[in-house]
Amino acid sequence: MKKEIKFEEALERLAEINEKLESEEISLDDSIKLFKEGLELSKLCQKKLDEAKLEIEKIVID
Amino acid sequence: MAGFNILTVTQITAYLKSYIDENKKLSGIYIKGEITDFKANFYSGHYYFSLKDSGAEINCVMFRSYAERIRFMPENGMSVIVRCDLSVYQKACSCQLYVYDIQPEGLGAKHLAFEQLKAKLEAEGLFDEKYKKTLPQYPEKIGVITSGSGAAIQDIINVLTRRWPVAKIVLTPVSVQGEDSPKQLISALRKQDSVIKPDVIIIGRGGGSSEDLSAFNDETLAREIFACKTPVISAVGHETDFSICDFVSDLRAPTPSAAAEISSPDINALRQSFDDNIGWMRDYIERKCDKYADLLSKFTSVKSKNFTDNFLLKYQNQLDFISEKREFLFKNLLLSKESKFSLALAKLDYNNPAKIFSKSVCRIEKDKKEVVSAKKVFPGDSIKIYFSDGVLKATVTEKEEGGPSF
Repeated sequence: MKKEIKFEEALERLAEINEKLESEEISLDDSIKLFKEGLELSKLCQKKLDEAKLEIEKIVID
Repeated sequence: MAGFNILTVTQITAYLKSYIDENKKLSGIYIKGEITDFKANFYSGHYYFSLKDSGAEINCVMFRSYAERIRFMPENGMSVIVRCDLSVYQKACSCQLYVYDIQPEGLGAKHLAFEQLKAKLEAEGLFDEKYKKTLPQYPEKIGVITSGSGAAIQDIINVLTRRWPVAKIVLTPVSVQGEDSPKQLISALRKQDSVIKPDVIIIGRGGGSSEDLSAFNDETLAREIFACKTPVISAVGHETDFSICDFVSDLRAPTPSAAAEISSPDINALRQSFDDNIGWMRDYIERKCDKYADLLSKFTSVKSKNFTDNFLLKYQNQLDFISEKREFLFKNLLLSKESKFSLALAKLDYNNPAKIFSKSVCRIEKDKKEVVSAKKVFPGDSIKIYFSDGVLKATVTEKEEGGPSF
């Protein structure tokens, strides 16, 4: 997984994982794999939120 | 008067009206004057008044749909500029102004210019809803174009620190008022859009006089915003201030703080949503595992070795029971079918006319009526005896009472 995953992408992927998990046909193996990925993704995002600190940069016009 | 072309009053006024209406120079015009005889019709909601100056006076009407839109109540003696069409009220053959908008003259030419530019850009479609870009839900880079020292940037920083510290703010400081301001706003916007490339751009400034805000009414800036590939949020002055920049941007925020708020998600709500999602996934996977564990334990249970046997036995019993029951049902069914069939056969047989004439049976008739008892027949009676192969006509010679004695 990319370290610098964008929030928008992470949330999209999570929604996708939820949807797949919810469908009945999925096998136990696959659902465990998805669960792991979802968990990692959620934790990564949470970590990103917890460590977030507003960064301010000034770029002057020429 | 013969030979003259005679017109009716209606015809000449209609002609005058169409003559004036066709003249494009007389529609969408701006007229300056002082309001007199102002009357707001209580029932219709229309405004009726006259505009005058030292040399002339003209009747004006402003229909309710337009009158509702102006933010102040016109008064007698007020110097105003109206935007209107000149036309003719045919019933009185009077020339009058059909007013769409009234502005107090005190606001001056700047305001007029603003209105004219707004109308022009609107007509060109620069404000069309279909061009409005969607704002990103989770911006990671937010471009800000405002003064580096004003309240606006502080407000934006405060809101984002609280709501969305995940973002990085890239500020291009500009002067937000004065003659040089539009030029700086434009180059900052270009730099943001093509070099910095944030997810969203906030352009604006804090409150000030209408003169202070005028840089945001620049036509070139408006066109630059329209051409911008990045979504732009405009936040100029206070809630009550409207600028050209507001209309052309993808979204207008009433203040810079509001712009920061609109551009960002709430970090706490998002955190909660991750917690919820992890909980949900955990529940789901636990349920799924339980289901499988349950299934598994039915075959290999460490705790009870004979579980499998028990299980199988139980299953076997059930199977036996089911097959027994089935057999029983099947037999019953056959039985009932069988009896039904024989019953049907018997019925069919009974109704078979040939049966009446079977070998051992004959039918005896006396006076064309079947005779079933010897009691009804007496010696000397003529009877007919029907066999399957013929009919005997006979006369009874003798009778013996009682059952047959073979």
